[in-house]
Amino acid sequence: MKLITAHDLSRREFLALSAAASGGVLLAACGGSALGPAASATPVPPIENALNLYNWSQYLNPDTLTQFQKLHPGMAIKQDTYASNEDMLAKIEAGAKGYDIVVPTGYMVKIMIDKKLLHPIDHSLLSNYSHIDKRFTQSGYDYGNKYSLPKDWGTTGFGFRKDKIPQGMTSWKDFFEMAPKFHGKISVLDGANEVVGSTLKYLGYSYNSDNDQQLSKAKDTLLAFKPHVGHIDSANYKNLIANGDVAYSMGWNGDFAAVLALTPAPPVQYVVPSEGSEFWVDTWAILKTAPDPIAAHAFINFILDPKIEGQEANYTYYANPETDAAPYITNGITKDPTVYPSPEVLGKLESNTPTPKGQRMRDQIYAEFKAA
Amino acid sequence: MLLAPATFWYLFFFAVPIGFILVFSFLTSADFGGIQLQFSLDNYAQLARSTVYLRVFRSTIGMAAAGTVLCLLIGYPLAYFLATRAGRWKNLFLVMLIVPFWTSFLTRTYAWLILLGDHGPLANLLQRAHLLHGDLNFLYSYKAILLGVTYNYLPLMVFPLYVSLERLDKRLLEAAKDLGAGRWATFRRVTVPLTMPGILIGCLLVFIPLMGEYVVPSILGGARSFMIGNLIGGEFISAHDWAFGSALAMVVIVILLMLITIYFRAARRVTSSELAL
Repeated sequence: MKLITAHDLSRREFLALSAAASGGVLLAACGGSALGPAASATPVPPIENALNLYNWSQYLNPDTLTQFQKLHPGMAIKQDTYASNEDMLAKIEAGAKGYDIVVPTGYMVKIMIDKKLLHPIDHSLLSNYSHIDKRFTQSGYDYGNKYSLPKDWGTTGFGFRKDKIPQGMTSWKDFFEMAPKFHGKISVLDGANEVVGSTLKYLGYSYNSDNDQQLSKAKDTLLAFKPHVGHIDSANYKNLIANGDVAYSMGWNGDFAAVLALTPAPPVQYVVPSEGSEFWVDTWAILKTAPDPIAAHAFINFILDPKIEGQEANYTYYANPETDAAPYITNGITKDPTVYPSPEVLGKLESNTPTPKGQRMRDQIYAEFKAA
Repeated sequence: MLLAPATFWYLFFFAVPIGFILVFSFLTSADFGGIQLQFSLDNYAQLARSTVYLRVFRSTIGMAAAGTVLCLLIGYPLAYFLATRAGRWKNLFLVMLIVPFWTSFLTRTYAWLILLGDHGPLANLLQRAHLLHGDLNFLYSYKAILLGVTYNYLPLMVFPLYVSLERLDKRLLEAAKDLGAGRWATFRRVTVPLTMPGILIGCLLVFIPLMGEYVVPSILGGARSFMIGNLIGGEFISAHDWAFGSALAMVVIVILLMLITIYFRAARRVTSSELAL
């Protein structure tokens, strides 16, 4: 039985095993060269002596932390991890203090802005801001990056076992209509918006629809689909598909990249469904309660350096929002269509931004889907 | 004054939290978590509208009952053996029963995932012996959860049983034998009635926490919901619907109170009539 390590918790974990071994050498090599220029290119304002990150697990190259630490000797850098946006929000809302930086996904940035949990970004402290591609500075969740800076982006789709489904799969239609044939051998993400949004796309509606009729149709579809679902899981599905315990599984592109990076690579293929799907952006954000917002800005600016961004992509296997970083990405992932989809596929993707009413309805539908 | 610590304890660790749940269940959820001060019966209406929740409540009670019965069926012979037959090995066996529980509950439950997986050692063994063709298909099901809870709750049953069996006056068993009772009659008419307090406590200790079990079904259960605890957790953590989650929790509390009242009434009748014999 292949286990992709027991602490594998989120979509953010890449290259946990085999690729880390080979990639590590590259990282070390490019890490050394990245350090010098980054140090001189980044003016360092006086900062206090602690930085606390609250991040998805294995979503930050340890070399990046080491290099930042070298620039700021004496600063205590600590990182805690979480497994979902909702877990993170629940903990911050419950009054968790002491964190400077969190990594919410776009829709969660909007929620956190509305709840007044985020510290405004001071662009004068971010000399590397200009490297960010234009389209990531005009996102609906935070136009103009007033509260967040893009970190990585990717898609929600599904992966299937080529040995079990030789004819292949291409669409949400395949995903839902092949279900009786693979009864109990199907896994979906544990998230209301992913599950309901994908169903809406299958039915030909918007990922973010809040139309009552459309949502009630989605609910009927989901309740009919439910008996065939074997797993509702956002953490362990990589193991399920890698071991062949499921025939196909909803998931995030990077997770399937991680599965394919195993040796020997399992016969798994990731699909961005032809009807379209979700396009998500994870961001760096500073908490209103941050003990040291200046240090937080310095850290984010350090990461925004294209060399460091490249080093991050080499580690996480996710697409980052800087075209300038491409020369520093060494493992060929810029040519991988599951990481950097074609413009044609990109055109069919939507970001996850339901209205409050739509969110409530999604949560109710999802609660019933889970209970059924 | 002497009652102050107990009263304080009762208030802050029991009455206040339950009071919150009760009040929340009649209010409205704010968007993305939190509570709005707006009275509403909607949470209970939502619960009644769908048959889904009713099914999960039934399944939870069924699972708790089945787990308790299994623990009793396995635990009684085990405790009986420990108390009467183990002799000088008794302490060793007791330690063996406890030692696994020094390991994290989570780790032990995850271990079943490996043992019983479709590609795990048990499946391999059965396939090699030609007893199994295809997948084992045991995990992520009702029976997997039942196995997990029985395994995890067994000591809660064994220890009260062991204590009451240990305290059993062996001379009474000899007296029964002298009076012509066979082994089975002695067991049924002397041993069981005299250890009834242990049985009753053991069942209670297993049944009540089992009704709220959350971890085992989330690891060993699949997509189908069998336990209400997981639904309540989901309402609070991922759906951010505290009001509806509170309503679900209130229903569990009421069901438990009713079941326990019935249980104690029945128990009193059983113990008094058995002992009268």
